[in-house]
Amino acid sequence: MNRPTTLAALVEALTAVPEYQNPLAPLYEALGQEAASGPLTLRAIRRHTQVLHALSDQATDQAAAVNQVIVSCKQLPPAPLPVLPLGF
Amino acid sequence: MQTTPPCPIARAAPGFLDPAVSLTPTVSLTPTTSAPMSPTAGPYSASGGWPTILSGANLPPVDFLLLADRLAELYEMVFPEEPDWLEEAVEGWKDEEDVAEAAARFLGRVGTLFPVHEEFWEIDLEGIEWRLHEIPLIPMGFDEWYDTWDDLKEPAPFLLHMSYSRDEGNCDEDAHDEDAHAPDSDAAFTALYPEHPVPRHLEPSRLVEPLRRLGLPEPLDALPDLLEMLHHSTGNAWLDIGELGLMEGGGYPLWDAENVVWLAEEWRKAQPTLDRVHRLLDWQNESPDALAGKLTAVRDVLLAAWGELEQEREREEEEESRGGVG
Repeated sequence: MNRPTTLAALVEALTAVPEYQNPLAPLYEALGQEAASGPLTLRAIRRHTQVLHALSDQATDQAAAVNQVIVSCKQLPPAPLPVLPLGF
Repeated sequence: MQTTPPCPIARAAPGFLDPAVSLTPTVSLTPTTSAPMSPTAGPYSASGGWPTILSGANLPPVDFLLLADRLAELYEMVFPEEPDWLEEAVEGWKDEEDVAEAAARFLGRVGTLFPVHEEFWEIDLEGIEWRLHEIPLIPMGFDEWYDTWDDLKEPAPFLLHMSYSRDEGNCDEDAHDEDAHAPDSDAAFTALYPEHPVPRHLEPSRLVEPLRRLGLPEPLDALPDLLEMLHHSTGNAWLDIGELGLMEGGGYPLWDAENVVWLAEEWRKAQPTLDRVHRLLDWQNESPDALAGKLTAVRDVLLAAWGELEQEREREEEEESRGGVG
C-alpha cells in the first residue's frame, strides 16, 4: 500500500467534509432576533416551541451519535502507526 | 359529590422530557452560561460558546429553554386569564437556581387555587422538570398506616384506636398486637384510654349520620367529618388521600386543564370541612386536663349517637317482628 497516497486521500476526504452545522443554530438565531427587539420572554419562547423541540431532539440525537462513535473508538485496540509511536 | 377524578390520581407517569435523553449533559451541545460567547467560537470550541450568529445574545442553554417553554405552556393552561405572566423574561436565567425560582413563582400562583409544594428541596433540572410534569399537590388526608398515631392530635388517635379495636377478629382480648399501627384489641384500647371507656360494640364509623343528626355545637360538629376523613370516605380526594398514600398509590396527577379545574373545585369544597376538623383538632390541647375534657366530650357525643343508633335498631327489630307475626 502506498501510505503517502493513502494519507493524502484521507486529508482530501477530511477537507471535503462540510463545515459542521450546529442543529441548534436556527433556534438561537430566531431567539437572538427576539432578544434583539426586547427581553426574551416566556411568550417569545412559546412562539418557537416547535422549532425548539425539533432542534433539541436533533441535537440530542447528534450528541448520542457522537458519543456512540467515541465509545466505539475507545474499544479499538491501540496499534502503532508508521509515523507515530504507540502511546504518542 | 363527584368522587372520581377525571384522571386517575394513582397512575404511573410517562416520561415527559426524559432526562436520560433530553437533558443529557453534553459539554459540546450546551453553551456555558458563565463564559461570554465568542464571536468565532464553534460549537465544539473549548470555550463552549455558540456560533457567531449568537454573538452578544445572552441566551439560556437549551435545557433551560425547554423548561421555559414548559412553564409557558403551563401558564397558558392554568392561568389563561393572566396573559401578562407570560411576559416574564428568561434572559437572566444563569443557573438552575434561576430556573427553580421561576418554577416556584408559578407554583406559588397555583397555590392560590389549591395546596401545592412551592419550594424545591433540591435544585436540579430533573427535580424542576418533574414539578412541571406532575402536579405537586399536598393532599390533606390521613396516612394512618404510616403516621405515628401518637403524633396526631386528639381525638384522631382516640378514634383510630377505637375503630381498629372493633375490627372483627381483633376482639380477642389475648390477641393484642404490640405494633402500634396494627389493629388493636379492645383490651389494648381500654388500656390506652382507661378514663374514657366505650362499649365494646360501639363502632365509630357507623355513627357519622347519627352524629350529624345530633346538631352538635362547634367544634364537636366536626366529629362526623373527622370520622369520615379517618375512614377515607368523605368523597373528597383532598380529604381522603394522604401524601404518603398518594405516593404509594403511584404518583401525582399530571398537569392538564381538566385536572387543574377539578382539583381547584374539589379544594374549594374541602376547605370548610377541613377548617371545621382543624378547629376540633386544635381545641383543648393546652393541658392534660383540657385534653381529658376534650376526650370526655367526644366520648359522650359518641355514646349519645350510639344510643340513638341502638334505639333505631330496636325499633326496626320490633317492626320486623310485628310484621312477621302479622
